[in-house]
Amino acid sequence: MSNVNVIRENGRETVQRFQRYKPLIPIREAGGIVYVSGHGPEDINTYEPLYRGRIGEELTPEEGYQAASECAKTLLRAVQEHYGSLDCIRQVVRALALVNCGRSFEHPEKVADGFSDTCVEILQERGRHARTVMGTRNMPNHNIPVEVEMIFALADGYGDRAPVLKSGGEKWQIMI
Amino acid sequence: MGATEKRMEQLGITLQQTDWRGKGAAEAIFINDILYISAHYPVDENGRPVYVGRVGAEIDEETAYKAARLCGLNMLRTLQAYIGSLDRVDYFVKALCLVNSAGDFYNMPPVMNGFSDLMVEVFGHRGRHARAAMGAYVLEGNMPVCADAIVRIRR
Repeated sequence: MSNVNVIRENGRETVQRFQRYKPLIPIREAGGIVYVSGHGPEDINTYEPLYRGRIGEELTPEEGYQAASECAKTLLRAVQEHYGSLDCIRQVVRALALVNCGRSFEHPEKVADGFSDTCVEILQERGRHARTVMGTRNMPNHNIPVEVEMIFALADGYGDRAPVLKSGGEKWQIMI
Repeated sequence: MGATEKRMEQLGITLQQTDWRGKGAAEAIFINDILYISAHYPVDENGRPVYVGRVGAEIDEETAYKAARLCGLNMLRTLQAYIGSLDRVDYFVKALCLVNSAGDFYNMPPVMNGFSDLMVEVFGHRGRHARAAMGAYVLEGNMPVCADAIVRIRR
């Protein structure tokens, strides 16, 4: 079964507009490893942030957790748009989470759990990743609370060298 | 649903659903000969912080150097657990080192040499790596430093 519907939560038609709004590209592939740009909790079409502010000041840790969860959905949507299906993910490999922290907030890792939990809820074992969490003070796009960048390993049959995109149905072996 | 699952359904055997919450962040992920290691902190064997505080405020540079070395030691333990023998380390590729810095502290690279020196002591030339050392505003549990790494492993 494809994981596609799991993240289709906003319920609206989305158009691929990543390139239009950013001079960056959201995805670059090299040697079977895919590097995904940092994504915040943003509306996929308008880049309007869904959350703003620092955790521990404007936002509570729970809201931060939700924002990090939105990051996972935004990232996975970018991947899905690029490759047609989340079955292209053999294994999420690494995530770098930046958490916008207020003065006395000391647990950015609990906020980043929002990303990690959503990742494994959608992808299960394939969603596990090495993670680095960093508390920062200033973030782009009107001070979004979280931003996550991700590296994942591409499943067989996907990518630049693959002749045709598969529509899914495969089960991928668990690594490690 | 697969044939086995259908048969289990007929037999009335149900499996408990896995609760994936909290299991997303692994200590390391091994893919295509490369081991991606999560951030390691200066903690003891029970995971309790050994050093707490910001570098340049509660923690001075020398103590932070030791904390960075402890990050490295914890990472070696994880490495050993994942690949059996440290002989299998082909070479270190890259490390990202974060220093929990007070307002006017700018000496992140000397602090993180605590981590890098250890790797060169242990692995010699193979322990050298590309590195980024940067100041963070907050780290987990207000610990002074953390380091992650990408390591190439021999088959």
